[in-house]
Amino acid sequence: MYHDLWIDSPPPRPLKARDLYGNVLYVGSLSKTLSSGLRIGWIVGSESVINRLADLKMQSDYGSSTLSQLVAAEWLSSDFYDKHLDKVREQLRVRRKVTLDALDKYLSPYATWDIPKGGLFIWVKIKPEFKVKRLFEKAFSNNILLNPGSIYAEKSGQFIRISYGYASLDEIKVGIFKLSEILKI
Amino acid sequence: MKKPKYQYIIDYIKEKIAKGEWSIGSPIPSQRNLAKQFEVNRSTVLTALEELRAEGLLEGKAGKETVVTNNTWTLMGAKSSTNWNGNVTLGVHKPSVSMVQEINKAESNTNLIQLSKGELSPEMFPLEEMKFIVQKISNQLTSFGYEEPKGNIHLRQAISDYLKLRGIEASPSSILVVSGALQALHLISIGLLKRGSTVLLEMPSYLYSLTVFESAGMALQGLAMDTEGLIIDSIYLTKENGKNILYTIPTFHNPTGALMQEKRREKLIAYC
Repeated sequence: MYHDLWIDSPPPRPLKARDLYGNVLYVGSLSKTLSSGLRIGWIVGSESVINRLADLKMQSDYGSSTLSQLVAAEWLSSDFYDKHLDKVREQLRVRRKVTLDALDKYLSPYATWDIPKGGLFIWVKIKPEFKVKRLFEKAFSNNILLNPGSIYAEKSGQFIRISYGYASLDEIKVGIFKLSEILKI
Repeated sequence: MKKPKYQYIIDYIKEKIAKGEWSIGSPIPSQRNLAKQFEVNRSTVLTALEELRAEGLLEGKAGKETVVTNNTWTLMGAKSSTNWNGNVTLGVHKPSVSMVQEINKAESNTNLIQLSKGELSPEMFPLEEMKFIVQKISNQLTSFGYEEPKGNIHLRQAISDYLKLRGIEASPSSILVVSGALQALHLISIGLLKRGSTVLLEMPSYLYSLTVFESAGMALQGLAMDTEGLIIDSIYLTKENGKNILYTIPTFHNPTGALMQEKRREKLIAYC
């Protein structure tokens, strides 16, 4: 899913590239890299598995939209997609830096995090003396939406997922500053 | 002779029922609201409802809401009709976790600062290129009907070429076009796994915010992680062979961002 969104260096080859026995089902899509509205993704697997899944897909929606499929085909088979990814990676590098700088500046007394090598997310661990549920609720009433780790079944309940992919740079800075204000009190 | 007032109410309710707008099991508006709507006394409303009850269209117990029990078609004996109101919560698919529902709803609010969204910013959307490509496509269009079951062959070829550059050899016949990863997971859950199988996965995982596998009768079993993602030694199978599947996001894991390195990928493939 996020393979093409590397920032520092290309990631290792996918598991599917090492699969000699057809044991791996590989799922990818254009939703995270190009357009989530196209609704185009893919599954790769052994032919018998793909035949079975294709039959079920036909019974469920009779196939994806021709228009979307043609647009996706054109993106992938021209050099547009690679050029687009180059730009996206450059942007993500900037966005990650701005986000990490804001985290350093405002949240370091309250939280710790690792630097992601790509993708869209920073997984932020809030120190145990602060309640994440309260942070989520206060942030929400201050018009900031963040995803608490609990919805991903994180057990300690002390994590939040911050995306540096979506909000504008200013919003990211303001947002993280406001989080620090909430944590302060 | 002029139609009595209560007859208007009867006709109104019968029409709602006949059109299916008020299905079997639906509560009808309160007596007070009906009285207001038709500008009549409560007693007139009661007369109308009594008549409809006698015809078998409504049923109401004292102190409780009155509900539709039959429709004009079932009374004519043709066919039995579905009680949708009982069914909207009975479907096999579980609703999403309430907090996830709340976040999904809030994500369409543009006044919010979205530190949550797992999607590229509109600022990065390649609008000009997209316009160019859509225009180019439109000049090449022929009639389009149902596509091949696995998806448009040009797209599958393009995906095959794209994957080759990333080290995956897959011919178009082993590729299925889907509407996103979520549909892929859904198809896998209903097509390849038995009820009662176990899905092993990183914990935490994006998959926990969905109910796709649980809805198909599977249990999730979380595996421990470190900064490189899932720890292979934490896999232990309550082994009944062929009943388990392992779901992993090895590259920039959602939500932790972990990246599985070369060595561990080899080890994982060897294990599977």
